[in-house]
Amino acid sequence: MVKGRRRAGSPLWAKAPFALVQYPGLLAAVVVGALLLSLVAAAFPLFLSRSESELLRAEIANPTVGRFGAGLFYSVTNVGFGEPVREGDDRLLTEALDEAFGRIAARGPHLGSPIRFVSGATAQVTLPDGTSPESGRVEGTIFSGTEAEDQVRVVSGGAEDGALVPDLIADALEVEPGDTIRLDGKLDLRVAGTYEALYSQPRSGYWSPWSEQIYPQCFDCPAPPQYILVGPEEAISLSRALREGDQQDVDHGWVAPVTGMPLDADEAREVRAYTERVTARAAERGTRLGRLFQCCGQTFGGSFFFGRRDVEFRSGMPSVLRSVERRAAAVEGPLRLLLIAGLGVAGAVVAAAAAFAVAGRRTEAALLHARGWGPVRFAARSAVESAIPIALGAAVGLAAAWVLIAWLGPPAPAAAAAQAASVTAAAAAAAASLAILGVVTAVSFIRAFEVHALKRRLAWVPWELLVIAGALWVLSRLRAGGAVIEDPALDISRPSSLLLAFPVLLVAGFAILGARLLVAMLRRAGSGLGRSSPAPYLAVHRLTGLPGLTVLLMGASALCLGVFVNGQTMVGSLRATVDAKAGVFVGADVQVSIDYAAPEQERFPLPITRATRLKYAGELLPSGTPFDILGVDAATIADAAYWDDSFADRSLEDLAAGLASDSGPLPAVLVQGGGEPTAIRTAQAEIPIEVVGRADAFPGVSSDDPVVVVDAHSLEERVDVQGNPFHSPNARTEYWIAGDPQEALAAVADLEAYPLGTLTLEEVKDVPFIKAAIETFSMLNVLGLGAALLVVGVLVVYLQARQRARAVSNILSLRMGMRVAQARLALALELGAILISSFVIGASLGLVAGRLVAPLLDPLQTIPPAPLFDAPLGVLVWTAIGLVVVAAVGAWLVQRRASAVDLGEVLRVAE
Amino acid sequence: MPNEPVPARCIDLVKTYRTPTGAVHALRGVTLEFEAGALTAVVGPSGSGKSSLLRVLTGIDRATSGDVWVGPKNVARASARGLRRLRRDTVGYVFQRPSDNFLPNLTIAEHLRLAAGSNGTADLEILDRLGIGHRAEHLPDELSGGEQQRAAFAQAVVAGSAVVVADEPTAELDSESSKLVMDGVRTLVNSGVTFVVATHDGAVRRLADEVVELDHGRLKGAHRTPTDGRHVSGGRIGRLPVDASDAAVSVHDLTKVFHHHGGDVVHALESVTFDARPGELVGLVGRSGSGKTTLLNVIAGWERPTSGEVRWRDGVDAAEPPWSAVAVVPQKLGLMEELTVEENVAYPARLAGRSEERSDHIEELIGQIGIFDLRSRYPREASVGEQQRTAIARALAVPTSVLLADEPTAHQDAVSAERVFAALRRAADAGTAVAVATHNREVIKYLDRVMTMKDGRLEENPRT
Repeated sequence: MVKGRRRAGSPLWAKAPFALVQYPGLLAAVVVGALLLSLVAAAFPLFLSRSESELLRAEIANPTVGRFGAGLFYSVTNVGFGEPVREGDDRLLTEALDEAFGRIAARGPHLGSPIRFVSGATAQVTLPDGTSPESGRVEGTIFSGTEAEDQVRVVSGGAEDGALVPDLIADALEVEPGDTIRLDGKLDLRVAGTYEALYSQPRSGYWSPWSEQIYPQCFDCPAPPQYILVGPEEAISLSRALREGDQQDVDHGWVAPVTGMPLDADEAREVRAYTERVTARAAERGTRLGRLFQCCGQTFGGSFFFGRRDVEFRSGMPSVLRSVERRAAAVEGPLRLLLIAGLGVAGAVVAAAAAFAVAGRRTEAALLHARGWGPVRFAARSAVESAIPIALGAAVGLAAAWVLIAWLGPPAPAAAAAQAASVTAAAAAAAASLAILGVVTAVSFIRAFEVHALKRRLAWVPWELLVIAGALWVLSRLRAGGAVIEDPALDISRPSSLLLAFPVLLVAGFAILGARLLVAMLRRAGSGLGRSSPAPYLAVHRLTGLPGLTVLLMGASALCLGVFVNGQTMVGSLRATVDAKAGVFVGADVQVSIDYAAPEQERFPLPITRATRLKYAGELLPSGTPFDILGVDAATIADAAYWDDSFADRSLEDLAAGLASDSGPLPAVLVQGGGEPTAIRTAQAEIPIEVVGRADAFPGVSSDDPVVVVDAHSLEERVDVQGNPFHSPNARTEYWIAGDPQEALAAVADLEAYPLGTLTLEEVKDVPFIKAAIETFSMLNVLGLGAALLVVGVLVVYLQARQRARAVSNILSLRMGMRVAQARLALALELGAILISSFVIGASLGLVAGRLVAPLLDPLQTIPPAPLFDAPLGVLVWTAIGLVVVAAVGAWLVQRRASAVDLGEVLRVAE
Repeated sequence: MPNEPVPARCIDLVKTYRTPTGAVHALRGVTLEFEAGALTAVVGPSGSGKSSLLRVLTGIDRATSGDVWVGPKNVARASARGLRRLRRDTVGYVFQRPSDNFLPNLTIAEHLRLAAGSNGTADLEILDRLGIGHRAEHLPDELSGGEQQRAAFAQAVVAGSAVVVADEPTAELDSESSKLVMDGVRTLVNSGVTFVVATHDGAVRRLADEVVELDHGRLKGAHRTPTDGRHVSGGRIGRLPVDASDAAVSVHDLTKVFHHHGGDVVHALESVTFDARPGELVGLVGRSGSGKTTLLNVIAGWERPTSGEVRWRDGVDAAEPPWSAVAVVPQKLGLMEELTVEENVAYPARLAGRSEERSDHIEELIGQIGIFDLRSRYPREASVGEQQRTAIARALAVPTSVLLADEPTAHQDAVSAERVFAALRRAADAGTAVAVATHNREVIKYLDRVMTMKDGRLEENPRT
């Protein structure tokens, strides 16, 4: 017997928070979805911050920067030995500066104890008897720096009781520790030790503030006077002695290095902000700091002496961070794409879980619908049921993000703000998961049960046409110049995200449309399969029996494969374009600038050719069009110069062969120019020419003006020295060397001409925009491939699930006379038709999208050729073969699993 | 309990479904009234529009045109929110499958509390009145099908539903469970609840205060007096003399034991000896779980017997007899979802390479079994009863030695059931041995021989 009435309250809501325990699959899907969403969202700021920190670490580790270069630097020249702060303040200026800089460094974030340096007089160094070395005059500069002796490689002796002398001086004078040297012939100095002179050593951070004083400033410049290291008092007294009198001067300086390495980017920004603030204050005369550090302006005068005082207050951190941010921008594009894709996938998992909450628990949903529940109430229930699993998943996702990034990410630390951002992102991911789950549950509920006129109307909307319209709109934006976004703050260009949106929209829209048409055609073809064998009969009917599902599967597969092919196309095209442009600009693998008058190179270990280029050389006649001229060595250019067959319809050998001629009009190849020029007019001469070839691009061409390519020797035959445009001071003569860049650079020493500078292909290609664009499309490529593999996997799993669900009909078919091989073939044809059709549709659209967009991405606009289009034919062929194999193997797997079903058990369950 | 009995009526009700293969006209201008505080049985062949009528009446689906009044409210004109309120407050819906009426994690008492609303209190005495008071604290899956169905009705009443609509509430119950459920329904009707029940069950029809008959989406008739369900005469069913010694298939001393996880052992068949003879319609009658399906599975070669043997005439391989030896109509019909009804029926002939030869027969068969109008539809676009007839027609498409049919009339009304047995009779007359497993004792009249199955044992029914 039941006792009367029971208390009120809804047990459904009370039990909801733990209801999913009864549905392990759904519970797992919700947890995994929230985990993925949280993982991706939380990992992004951590990874980005660690990347920045790693770039920062690398920048600071650069010997030309170092901890000292990145810190705060102050130097002041010409400080008198006894100079007071100012009238009325008798403290020595150097002591006041020392105290003030120490205070600034102590207050600054991540700045260490400053080192103080004194750069004193430069003096000729001789033996005590005045003997100079046989090699000639040798000089040294008195220098004192905090712990400077620890920053050099000591060869002999030490720093006690005397000076540390560079081996450049010690070897020349043949002195050893304990010996004495004489400065400027009047001051003796005991040699306590010798060290390896800095100019011949790799640059190191400590010495980076004085690079200009230590290292030669040109290729063949002599080494500057190296430092003779002494203590600070000694540096002053020596300099005073050398300069004779208190009114003379020395240079003083302080450097506060950055500490707490490795710094994260935010800490570096704190340093930057602080140093900028201090520098700004020090630059204002109105402030006490400004008056002290500026020392009353950059010049000072006296009754009889008028000198110049240079003051420098600087930090390398702004430029370090600028470089970091420029490079990070190249990383951020693809990373953001990865974030979007990851969020999309994770969101899809959550959405699938939500849809499954309705589809997999359809009976419950139908019951609640019949009891008068609406979508909002149902969604609220799902949210309550999922709240704890989502919180759990988000927490695990956050922890996983931290562990994975620490394990697999860049080793540098993440900034505290990034860590906080990752926690916030995980919380937001949890909230988003709940929101997605609620919305998708509500929509699924409406789709499954509610009767809305709007739903019926929406079902007839051709959504793919809207997507196609969106793609066309994006294309119009791209063509209107939206392909590249300028970032004035970092002075870089980034590829627009529209470049990614376009192929996705174009492929998605047309893929669905194509799939719809294909299914309609198959449906028509299916009616003609009356006598065909069972396999194609079944395959066609399966494809057309559930047209919506087939269109969805084909559309999804085509989208993924299309994005993959588009990514391949874009990366290939960009690489081809950049390679071609860099090749054209450099001329070959390595370019060496030389003087036009340099002697001809008789022999060289690598293919080499010589070229001279002159911009704005004159006018083409009769049109009067301005032109550039390029003089090449027709005999050697084909062996060494970069060439791509897309540059001209003839080979470089053919073109070069036509250039050499001793008489008649000067043979020329016209690049980027139209018309029929008969002569060129330079400032000095008018030379008849004969156009023997034309090209869209040519090695050595670096502008979009017409370029006349001639054989330099043939030109010299026709004009005297005054008439030769290549003698212009604006002309640039180069050797172009083909081969391994390192080998080529090493061989430069063998050149008879003096090398004025070198340039390699990789240096030209090292442009952040190009890297960002290639990385972004590479990422799109990887994502497309990943998604395609996922879709193929989903297709196979779907077919398996379907075949298992259709176990009864499958086994009945086998009883009716269908052979296993025919059943397998039917599956292979079905799967193959979906995959191959999707591939054909997707790949075609991916190529079309690439063809439309590739010309809009011109990374080095001023250098020909125009953007190239590179269809990834190999990838297309291999993908097609792979899909056929997948169809065959997938069909075999599906049929094997389907055959393993125990029909007796299935039918017993039905009973 | 409702304060006042609420009547319902439909005026010129039309319901049309749009499907990929065209429009399905489920209801074509139905006008009728459901008397307040009475039990109305909606009957008619499967596919006649019964379920559509009930769905529109409860506001689960919306009419294409026409009006549906539940008390003073026109359901056809109600907003989505209004329909929800209607389902929550006025009309209770009881699903055909008993377990579909419950959330698995709530006890029966909790279901009633939920039905009473968040601020209401549940009067659990109704469970006593329906004979399931002792089940209040049980979870749904601890109840039998009949108990579940009564608890489902209790929910509808506790929710204050003045109108309770049930779609074939006894279709999946054996006769004893059905009786208990309908006793409960009568109790509720007597307390003023308006009951509308779609059914094929003759017992339910006999209990109803009024019977409404639909055919092809149109109202065929309404009767105050219950009928016995015999509207269509099947004519004389011819019977051939059967020679017991010439069985197409026979089983001898068959035993089938299942070992479940946890060590449970189920003796599904125990020393069963049985034969099916050419020209004979033999029935295996028994409650769910009595072993009927297992016996058919063993004969069909889908289960291996633990002991005993299956002998086929003409040297057929008992482990995997071909379709020409045995055609099967399983409860899970096994229709090809990608093929239309007609293509499904013709599929065995196609695989046997006899499409053209059998085309006339198949066309005739489709007409005889009552699925001609839906031959171009996919199975999912047909009712369960129509799907079942499609599966039966498929089994009859090519001649076979034996035809095994598991509950072939579970979803058929009396007319359709008679069509089904007429078709099976024609097959038997042509020499096929037809064995039918059923829990429906009303079809015994169509059988030549009846075997009763109980707890895995088979015994000859003395009535035959």
